[in-house]
Amino acid sequence: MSKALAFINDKRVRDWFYQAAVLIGLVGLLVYFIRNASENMVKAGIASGFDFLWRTSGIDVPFVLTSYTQSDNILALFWAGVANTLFVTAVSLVLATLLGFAIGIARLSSIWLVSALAGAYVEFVRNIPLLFFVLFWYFGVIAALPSPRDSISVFGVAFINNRGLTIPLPDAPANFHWAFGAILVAFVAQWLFARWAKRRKEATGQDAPLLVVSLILLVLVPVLALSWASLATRWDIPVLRGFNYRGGFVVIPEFVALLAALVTYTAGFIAEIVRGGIQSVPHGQIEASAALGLRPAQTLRLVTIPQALRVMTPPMTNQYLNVLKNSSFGAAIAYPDVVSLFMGSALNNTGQAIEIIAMTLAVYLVIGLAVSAFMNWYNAKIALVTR
Amino acid sequence: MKTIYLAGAILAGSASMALAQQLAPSPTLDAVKARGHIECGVHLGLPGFSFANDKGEWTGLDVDYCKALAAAVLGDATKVKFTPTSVQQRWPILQSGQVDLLSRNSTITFSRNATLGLNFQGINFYEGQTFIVRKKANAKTAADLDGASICVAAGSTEEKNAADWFRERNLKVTITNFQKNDDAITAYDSGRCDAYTAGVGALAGQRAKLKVPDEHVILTQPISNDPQGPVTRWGDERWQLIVRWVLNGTIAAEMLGVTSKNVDEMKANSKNTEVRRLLGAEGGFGAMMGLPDDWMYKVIKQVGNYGESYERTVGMGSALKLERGQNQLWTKGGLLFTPPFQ
Amino acid sequence: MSATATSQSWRERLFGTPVTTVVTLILALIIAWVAIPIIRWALIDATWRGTTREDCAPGGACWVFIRARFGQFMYGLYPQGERWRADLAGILFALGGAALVFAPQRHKLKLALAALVVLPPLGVWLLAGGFGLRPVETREWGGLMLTVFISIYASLIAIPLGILLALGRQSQLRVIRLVSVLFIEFWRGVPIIAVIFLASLLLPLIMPSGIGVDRLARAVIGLGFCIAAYMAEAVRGGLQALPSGQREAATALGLTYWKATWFIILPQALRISLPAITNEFIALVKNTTLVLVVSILDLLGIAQASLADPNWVGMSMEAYVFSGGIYWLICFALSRWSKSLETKRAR
Repeated sequence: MSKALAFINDKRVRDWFYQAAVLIGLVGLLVYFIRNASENMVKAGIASGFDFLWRTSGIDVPFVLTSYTQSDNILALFWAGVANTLFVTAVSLVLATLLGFAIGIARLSSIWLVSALAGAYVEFVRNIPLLFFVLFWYFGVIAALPSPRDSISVFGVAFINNRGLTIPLPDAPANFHWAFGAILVAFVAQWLFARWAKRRKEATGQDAPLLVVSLILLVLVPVLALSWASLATRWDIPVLRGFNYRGGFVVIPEFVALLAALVTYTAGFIAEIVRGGIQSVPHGQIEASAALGLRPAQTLRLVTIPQALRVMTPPMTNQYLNVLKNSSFGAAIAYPDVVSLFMGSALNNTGQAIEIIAMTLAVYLVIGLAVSAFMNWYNAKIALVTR
Repeated sequence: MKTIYLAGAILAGSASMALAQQLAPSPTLDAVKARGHIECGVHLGLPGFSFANDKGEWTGLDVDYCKALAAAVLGDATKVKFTPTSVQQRWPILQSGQVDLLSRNSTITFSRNATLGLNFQGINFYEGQTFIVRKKANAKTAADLDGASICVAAGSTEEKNAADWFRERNLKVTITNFQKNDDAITAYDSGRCDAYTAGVGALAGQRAKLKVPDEHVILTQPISNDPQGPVTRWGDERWQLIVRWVLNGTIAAEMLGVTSKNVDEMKANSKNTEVRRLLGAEGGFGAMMGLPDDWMYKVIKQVGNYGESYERTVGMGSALKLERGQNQLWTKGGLLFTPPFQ
Repeated sequence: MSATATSQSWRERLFGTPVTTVVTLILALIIAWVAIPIIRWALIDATWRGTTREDCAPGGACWVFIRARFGQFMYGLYPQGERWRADLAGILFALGGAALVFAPQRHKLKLALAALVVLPPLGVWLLAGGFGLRPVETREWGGLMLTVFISIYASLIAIPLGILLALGRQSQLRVIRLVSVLFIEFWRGVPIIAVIFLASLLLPLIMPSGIGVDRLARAVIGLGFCIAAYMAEAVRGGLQALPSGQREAATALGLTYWKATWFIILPQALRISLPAITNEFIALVKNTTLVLVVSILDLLGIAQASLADPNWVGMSMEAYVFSGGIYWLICFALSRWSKSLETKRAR
């Protein structure tokens, strides 16, 4: 008897019991829901399974980065949506980070009006739902652009109007492949040279002409390569014919509006993170670097930001993931992202809600995990640098 | 004495059971009766078809059908509640049983019928897809829209129709798909698109949402044929039967000249057997579906026949001013048809 | 004396050095260039009185539209004669909230529990009716009232669930930790737009047939689960900030896990994480706008719906400015409050 009691009172046994109970309860609930769902679906005559992915989609997508066309299957439509989601997320991330840094640093400016304006911007942006930004940029700003007939012309080759930004496309991309190859080689060479220069300096104390080599490799080579490719290629320059410009590549206004909304909104949050990060660096450090004779810009670049980055990385990771998730707001203005194309058009044509929602959620989870993993790696890396 | 009562009770009981056995069970009908109203899924807001004014009162051709169904099933046309649904939500809402039917200008198509677990119960509007364009664009037919960008609601038949139609003719258009009709038309109005595509009837209603309706013109030649009507789930055949024959009844009433004004007189005096069956004066047709025999009488009395409803909501008596066209009775050159009440 | 001091410090701030002066002047020009047309549109050229669109002067804002639609912006299609119920519910919740904030420390827990038990059912009863009140269906709810309703009720799901999840994530028990982490990371990883859509489609499917879940309840549940994951992370911050000695001391005193959590850990952890929780609440208020994807007409939804009225075509700016302003006021007030909590704690 007392043995049994001791057994019941044993912490390990109890812990095991609790965990088993929770697990069984959860699995039971899950099974119950799945059984209900399958019963309900059979009763309602809704098709199930993933066969629908190989049906012809028939949906015309105005902005495709993959090779998708209307006569491809629904799986191809899915990938086209995923590519669009990734594209707008990636561009937004870069621009929002730049704008956020600028505003965050402006907030700490010694010029009162600059910091006050930055502060007002942050307070304004953070307290309004993102959906307003999306609608504002789309229906307010982009729609105010001129019609194709009265387009704003950029050197007669690119055109801005309320149908988007039409840019010329090269007829044959071969030259550009060579150019990008050359640029890549130059970048790798620069990286190797910088590493060699650093090692040599640590070993011998001698300076290498890093600046000159960098300028040649990072600026001159790309400029030369791209101008050669541009001049050597025939361009498909957009021409106004009938309703719109024909030819070239069209960056649709939905993309621009969503991008602008994501950037302006997220920058408000990043600015706060940047400010917090910079303020977390002890003031003594800045005084010390001033005493060492560093100029304020140098202090910012060499002392403050490297340390602030450490504090900033985790909240920045969250913001980056938010941008990914928030890119789904594109559905509100017809940006053809995965939510709009797959959970909108494809779901309507096939009616297979469960499969389609599961696939869409999986996209976000997988990309989110990848971003988290990268940011964790980056975090570990900069943590190491500071020793 | 007691035994006689008992025997009587058993007899009556078995008789009613025998009667009840002839009727297939109808969970939807039972639920409607228990609830006291019909749950009807309608369009978010399409003047002429289903539109709620600022007091929340619904009007329109699709709304009228639901009112007619309520009159037939519950005897009172006001006992219906409307759930506005977007293009995306409409099928799941019906499939999951949140509404008893959809009356939501949705086009009948093969794949919807075959894969979505939906049945279409007849046609209450022959719609044809066309375009609204700016007058100054000078387009006369859809073929003039080469190179245009076109706004459309995502997941609608129009989205695919338009893509197919232009591709078959080797015309290049850009189709931008919005999640809601209203977003698409706002985008068109703001200059994002050269044309907005939807059915002729839908366009006539939505035109009023444009800033300056007179600057736009609806192309007259439709590029497709989009019959629309009430939609139910698979299963519950008796409910499907009721939904189908209430629609047929309103068309038959127009054929037979029964209107909300003369329905009392017709019921009392008409010699026409089909009229008498329709209005429940003979034949016991209502009971065959588990409804009162005067089901269609109540429909006509409270809502009117198809023609009355049409004129009031989308026809000459409305702001839309649509001709009857294909939606005229087949005897008068249209396509509207009903099997006989026999 | 002090007036000259402030004017001097202002001069210092704006025109202290040549660089400052130049930057200030350039920025002031830009501000004027942007702000003057906006002010002209919103105030000077605007029309305030009238009844129809024709009363409005072109070029300025037509606030007549907001006046005509004010009731709808606040209550949606809630029956006119019953709107006092929404007001009353709002007042009750405001009083409850105020009591919670200003009550003396030792009564706080009891008060919180009492409010948690009494207020939510009372609010639902007032709004939905029944038991003596005229029933009002959720499809008639809308506007600001609905925004507030969704925010409060979703957080009623999110906060308790979030606390449990945060505790689960810190738990010694491996399975519970794993389940909590999976739950949190799943909901934090997916877009809320998809979650609301998922809830509205999936909930009816996974329930046994015959059991319906109200449309609005579905949106609230979906949002509640999603925000719970974010709340959990906010609470975790508070839990991690507590020295581990606290729990060890409580255990040494012979308190069970739950007693130690309830009396020692949570009161301290929640106080620390209150600003973070408030920030998540602000995010929730902003995210309520997404219910519009399932045709539930919250403040933004009703603003959009009102644009489709043929009698009031072209009022989008007015509708968005007005509704956006309300969101801003609510969120700004909350964020100020959360900031003041933070500074109070830091002192």
